Amino acid sequence: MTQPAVDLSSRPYDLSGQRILLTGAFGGIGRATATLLANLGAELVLSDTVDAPEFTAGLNGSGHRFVACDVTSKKAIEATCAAAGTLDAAVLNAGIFPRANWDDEAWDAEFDNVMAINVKAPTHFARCLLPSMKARGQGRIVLIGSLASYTGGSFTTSPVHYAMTKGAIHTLVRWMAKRAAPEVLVNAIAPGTIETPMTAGTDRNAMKVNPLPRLGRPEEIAWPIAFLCSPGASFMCGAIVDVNGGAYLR
Amino acid sequence: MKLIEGFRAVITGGGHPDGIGQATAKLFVEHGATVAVLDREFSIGTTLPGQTAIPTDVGSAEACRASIETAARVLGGIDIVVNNAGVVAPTRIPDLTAAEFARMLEINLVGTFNITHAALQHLKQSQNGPAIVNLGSIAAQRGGGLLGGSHYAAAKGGIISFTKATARELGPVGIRVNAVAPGIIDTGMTAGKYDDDRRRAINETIPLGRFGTAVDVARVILFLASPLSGYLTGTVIDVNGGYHIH
Repeated sequence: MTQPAVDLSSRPYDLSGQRILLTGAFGGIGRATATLLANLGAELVLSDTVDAPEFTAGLNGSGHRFVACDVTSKKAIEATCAAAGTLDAAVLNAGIFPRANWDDEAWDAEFDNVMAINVKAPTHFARCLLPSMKARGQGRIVLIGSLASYTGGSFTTSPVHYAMTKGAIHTLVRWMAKRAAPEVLVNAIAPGTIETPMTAGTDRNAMKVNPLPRLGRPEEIAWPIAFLCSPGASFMCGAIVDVNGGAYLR
Repeated sequence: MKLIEGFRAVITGGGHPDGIGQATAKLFVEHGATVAVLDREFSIGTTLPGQTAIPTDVGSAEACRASIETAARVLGGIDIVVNNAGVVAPTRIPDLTAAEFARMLEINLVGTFNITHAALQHLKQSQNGPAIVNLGSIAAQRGGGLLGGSHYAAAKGGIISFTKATARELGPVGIRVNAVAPGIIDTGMTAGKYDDDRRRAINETIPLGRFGTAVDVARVILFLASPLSGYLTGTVIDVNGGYHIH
């Protein structure tokens, strides 16, 4: 995986000594984020449904741990937070991209499932983590929204339930940021179409009309995520950072 | 290798010690860049490490062309432009004159155009993922009402629209254009403008409970100027401590 050939371990983006929880750690954006956060000196608590020990073993630094979590279970989320211990930041990245059209019979079950994973789960994580972060007087929470929350989705085939969940995340960020401050900074990244397994099958030609006429790379989402965890984002609260190559200018 | 090692940056409005421009210049130098600072006056002096001072009135297209050529020659090219030069005034509409309105647009908005226009050919030749960072403002988003009058809000709104349009136009040639929208920041621009009572009252309405510092903003400008923001273009990043969540 390409990382910038530059030394990031200097102010203001250094994460040395920070313990960071990353959910959805072994997906496309998750892996790029884990790799970068580890390179910046963070100690990671990696959460996903299934372990990927070889990936974790290959990360820079030491002390990284895996905690299995079925994020559709509130109890599992609470157990994951307890197992994670004291955290400096949480990147609530786990999410799914269901594909059913709302005319399909499968859509109803998909709707419940995507709401549970994309909306309810990060909300439970935040409910669980925020009190201790506030009590400790510091913390960062980074959520992952989407370009789809503004546009309803880039293509006519874009699923409505996915876009709805990401709209909810943007609202959650804005609601929570005020209540988490001043101790904890809550912000989000809103990615455009990123080259990951989640977006497999995307028509590349459709990207050619964008100012940056290509798909984004997972590490191009990882960098802004790391930035929001770092001292560099010291005065950012309730911001949603669009990372979409200019596909949608808000 | 440092974050922007070997990058050559032009920053306008960095001639004062306590401003966002100078904080950005220092941070850029710390992270490996060489910097040309363009300003009308240099109360900070003109012999700062890693920085070349070039006296410039950004309201003059001719002056901008000449200063950008000087900067490109001294630095050996230009990879980053930070359009930070600006002025603010609280004048209310009944007291505003067309001349004051025009002057506000000239320095903030036309100045941003003048520098961008003059630097374009140099940015196109950059091999370092060239980037432009413009200074918007919370005033553009919420309609002034703090230190800025309607002319200031309009100028900053213009800068945000200009940011999006240049991002759209220059993306295909590989130049990224983004903006920051600072909230209330403690700088020379705001010094002495808020008495203790007003500051306390405002702080209570800012979720982070304080005014921002020049460095708070400079760190975000560095992010937008660096390869770390390689897939961001046409964005406006709020740096307002939660004062305006929208």
